[in-house]
Amino acid sequence: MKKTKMSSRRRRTLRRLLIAAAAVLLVNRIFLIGLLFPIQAIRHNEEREGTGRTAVVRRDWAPEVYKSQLVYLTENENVTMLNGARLTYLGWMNSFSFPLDCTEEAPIHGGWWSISRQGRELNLFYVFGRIDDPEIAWLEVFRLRNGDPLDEERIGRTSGNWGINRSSEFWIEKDGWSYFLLKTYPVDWNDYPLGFSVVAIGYDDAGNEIARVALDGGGSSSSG
Amino acid sequence: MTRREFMYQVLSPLGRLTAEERENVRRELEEHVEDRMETLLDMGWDEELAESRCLEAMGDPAEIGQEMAKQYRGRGWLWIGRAAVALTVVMCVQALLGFGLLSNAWDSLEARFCPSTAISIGELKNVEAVEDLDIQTEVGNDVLRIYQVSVGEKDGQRAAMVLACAYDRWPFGVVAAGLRVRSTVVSQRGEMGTSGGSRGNYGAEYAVHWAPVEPGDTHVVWVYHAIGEMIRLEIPLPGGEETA
Repeated sequence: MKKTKMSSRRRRTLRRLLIAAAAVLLVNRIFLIGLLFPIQAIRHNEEREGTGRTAVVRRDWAPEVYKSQLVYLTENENVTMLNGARLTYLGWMNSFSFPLDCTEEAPIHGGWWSISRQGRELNLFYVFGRIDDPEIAWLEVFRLRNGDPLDEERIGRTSGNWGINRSSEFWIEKDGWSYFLLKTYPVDWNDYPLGFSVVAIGYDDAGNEIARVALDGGGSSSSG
Repeated sequence: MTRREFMYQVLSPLGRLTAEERENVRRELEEHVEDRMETLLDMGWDEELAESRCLEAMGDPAEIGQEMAKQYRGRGWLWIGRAAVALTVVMCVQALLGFGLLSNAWDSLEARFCPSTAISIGELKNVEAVEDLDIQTEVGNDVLRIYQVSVGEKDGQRAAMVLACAYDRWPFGVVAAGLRVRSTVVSQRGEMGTSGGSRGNYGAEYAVHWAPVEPGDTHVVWVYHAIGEMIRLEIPLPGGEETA
């Protein structure tokens, strides 16, 4: 009679792990889904945007949109990028990405992004960027209502001061660079029938305005 | 001692085994006994006596059970194994759900071996010459490939149509989006061209660009704008000066 070789618990587990690893690799590489970690979705964003590898500056959880919605601010020498990733039935997926080209000299590189979910009124509004002028010690961000005679509206005016200084949680120092990531909640698009523009103003320690930059780059994403 | 009693005594110390493992042990022992019995039965032994003799020869069932138990230590391995099975099942389900995404993989392969020409080719009239090319350059993690140039007439003007594709350096990798918007084509006299059709997915990007050409032109230039760099590729026109 033919003998069957008894497999020990460890041997069988290792065999199962090998099969699982092969399945993960296959689905990740061929189908480009089944990502086990959100950072893998960010890697897809980098590939799609052609930015090259970036490092995470800050990760923000945005459960207001989806319970698993994560927003990453990432950077490398050439770009500062806002990324989104969330967990779906196909694993972690990239939900949006917006890179800022920081190769040209400017005191402030910045952009904005609005995230919303269909069927929900709430949307998130992120303003982010890199501050290249070392003199800037305080940053203020304004949202300008196009065609508004009152000219300007400060983001988050109702909930406090959205000026960002070096000790603020929105001001992030990393590898000798300064970044900012500002999240605001209420954006009622009806208030902006003619659209809006976002402006960042940098001040020095003495409060003198030393840079004013229109953050032209921006966009929005809405998922179902 | 009957075989049933023997099995019971062996399996008693193996209380933490899964049903499958317990069945494996039982089957292993059964096969062992059957093997030995077969020999004795061939020699003309009585079945009952042969079984009893075999069980005696196997040794102390309690000791056998303890030895067996050593092979199945480590509850952690059991849970890791179960997690691995669950992960495999999840991946298989995702592969089924994402079956349509195989088009990314297909396009990734197609672009590197036989790039499609089914983009905007119909817009070129009075085609004078068509030439397949294979001009490649690396852009970050991607490969930009110029694979065909044609000269003909577009909107009443003599023009060159250039077909390009891009794909990740690694097969099935993710390519940068927007080949068309990142690219422009200029004539050798510096006249800006226009963009034609494009299509793309995670596997490959395709784009068509046009540039005006005049008799005597030998090439046009494909300019690709990547973050932090600009790449210029000189595209020879079919026949060179002879296109005049």
